[in-house]
Amino acid sequence: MPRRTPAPYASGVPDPALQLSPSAGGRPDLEAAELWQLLDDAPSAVLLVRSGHPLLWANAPARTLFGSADLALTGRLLTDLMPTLKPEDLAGQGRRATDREHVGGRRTVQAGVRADGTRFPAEVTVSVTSAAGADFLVLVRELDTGPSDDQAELAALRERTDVVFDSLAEGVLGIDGSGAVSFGNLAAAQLVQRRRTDLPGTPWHSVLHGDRCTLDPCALADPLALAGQTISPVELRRRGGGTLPVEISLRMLRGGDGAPGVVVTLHDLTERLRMEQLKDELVSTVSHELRTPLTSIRGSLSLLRAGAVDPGSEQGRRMIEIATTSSERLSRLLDDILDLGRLQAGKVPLSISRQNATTLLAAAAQAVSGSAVTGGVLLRTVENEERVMADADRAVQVLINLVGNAVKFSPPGSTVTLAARREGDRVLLSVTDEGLGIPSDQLGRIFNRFAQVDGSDTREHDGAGLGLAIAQGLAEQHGGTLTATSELGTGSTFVLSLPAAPAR
Amino acid sequence: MTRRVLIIDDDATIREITAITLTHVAGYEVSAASSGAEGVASARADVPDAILLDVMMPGLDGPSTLAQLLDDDKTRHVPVVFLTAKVQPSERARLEGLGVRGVIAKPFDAMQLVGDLNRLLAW
Repeated sequence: MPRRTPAPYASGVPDPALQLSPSAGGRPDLEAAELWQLLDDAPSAVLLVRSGHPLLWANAPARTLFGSADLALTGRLLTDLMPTLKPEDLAGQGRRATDREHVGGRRTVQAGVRADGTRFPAEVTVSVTSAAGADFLVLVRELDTGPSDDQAELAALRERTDVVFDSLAEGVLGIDGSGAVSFGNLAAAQLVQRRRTDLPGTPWHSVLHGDRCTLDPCALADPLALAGQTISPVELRRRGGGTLPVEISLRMLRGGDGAPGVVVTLHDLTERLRMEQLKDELVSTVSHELRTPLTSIRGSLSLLRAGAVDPGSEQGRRMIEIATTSSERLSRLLDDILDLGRLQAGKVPLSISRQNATTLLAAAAQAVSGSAVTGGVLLRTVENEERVMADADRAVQVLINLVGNAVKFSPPGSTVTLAARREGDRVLLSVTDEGLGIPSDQLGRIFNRFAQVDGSDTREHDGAGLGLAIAQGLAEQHGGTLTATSELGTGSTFVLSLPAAPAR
Repeated sequence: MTRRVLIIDDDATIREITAITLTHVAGYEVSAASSGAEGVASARADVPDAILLDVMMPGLDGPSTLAQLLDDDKTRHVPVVFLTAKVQPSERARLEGLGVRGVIAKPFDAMQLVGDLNRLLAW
């Protein structure tokens, strides 16, 4: 009674038109079942693989070698069994499927992994079995562990190198002497928006500038001529559309046969350019804020110095007043910039002590009372008994900013209310106005220190927009928070949450 | 005949100092507007001989104000000089390319302002 070996697709998997054609070439005409039996009895381990799918079938030696009784090795992927085997090892075979000279398979040394996790060096031969190039027979021969330690080490080294290579944030491409990509890491594939397996063989210039480069001749077309250079910025034309600014560095690399090639590293410049733009806008805004009071100071003093205006006249006194208030404004702005720098570095010294919340609120109201009177806004401080742990000067600085903003954006005849209440181990000091309110899309970013930085010519508000960023930074240094809620047409409430002072 | 200059700037003290400078030092007749929209309306109603225009303003900024002035037959011919705190060379080149007689940087010396303005306007 002949032993029957289960056919690889007996479990209902559609037959992938396995083309082992036993009758071709004058060889003995065998039944398919006999063929599978032969494969099962073969001394070498044989795996049947379809690209991108779990293993379809494994013969008896393969099941023994990999330590699993299951025919399909329990749905494992080829890369589970041999992590060092790269997709291009299969893809390369697939491309050669129509070239009969090469359909004999390619031998490589890989690291095999058994079901128990142990590793062994293996010689692997991959052969295409279908015309479509999607099915492969993989022959695996365990190499002697003794003399082949070097090969196992080589396989392990290759695996380690690949892991390191793919963990790099920068894209790396190898270019051969003909200008075609010979290898690329994951980051490079992601930057150029191509599949990693599509990179080998693709012309370098096509990877960089797509199929239709508008430059003729393109200075980047010959990578070997650029070896040793770093070029920035280069506009990378992405396959998915659009461009990406990158810096490219090219270094000469000779292959094992001495043939020249280059290794290109690609560094994405998007974030660096964004930061540079942000810095330019910040410099532009701060420059504008410094120059505005400076213009008033210089203008008024130059009028007095030239005798165009008599210092003793009403106009002369007005010029002196403008110079004085403008220099104060300049001084406050410089203090703000320094504060922001210190806050960012965490170097604002705080002298924390027990403080009366009503006293802090009243001090802020007092400081802003002049502009409140000018703007016809009523300031109301609600008495309370709460005590907080705070640096009095800095807490009042935060509250002055909040009350000052509230007054600035309140219509005449409206009220700004200052209050405090206990919530758990916190005291919430609130400033509520009856102004126009803040649109919800802006509410989330008003504390961002760059939110007010606007490089455009249109500025909706005076000031460098540093006040709220500083206030929030100070609140956080107290171990507190600064938050805002707002309703359009009704008004806004800013809440400074500070640690409550312990009961005495 | 006294030359008439319109100053458009959202900063009150700069309007005041510029107005005093042009009145007392240069002897010009000066009017002022605190926004781009107000400035365009003022220039249309009473066409000046020159306009000193701030760049960074809320609402209608300097370049947008200039565009409206250039778009109007009544004000198209009036020479405009930008007054700006934006002094980077690239910014200056951008502003000069918009069709103005020139750009004067802030901060300015009162005496220097008159000289620069007269030179740019060929007065």
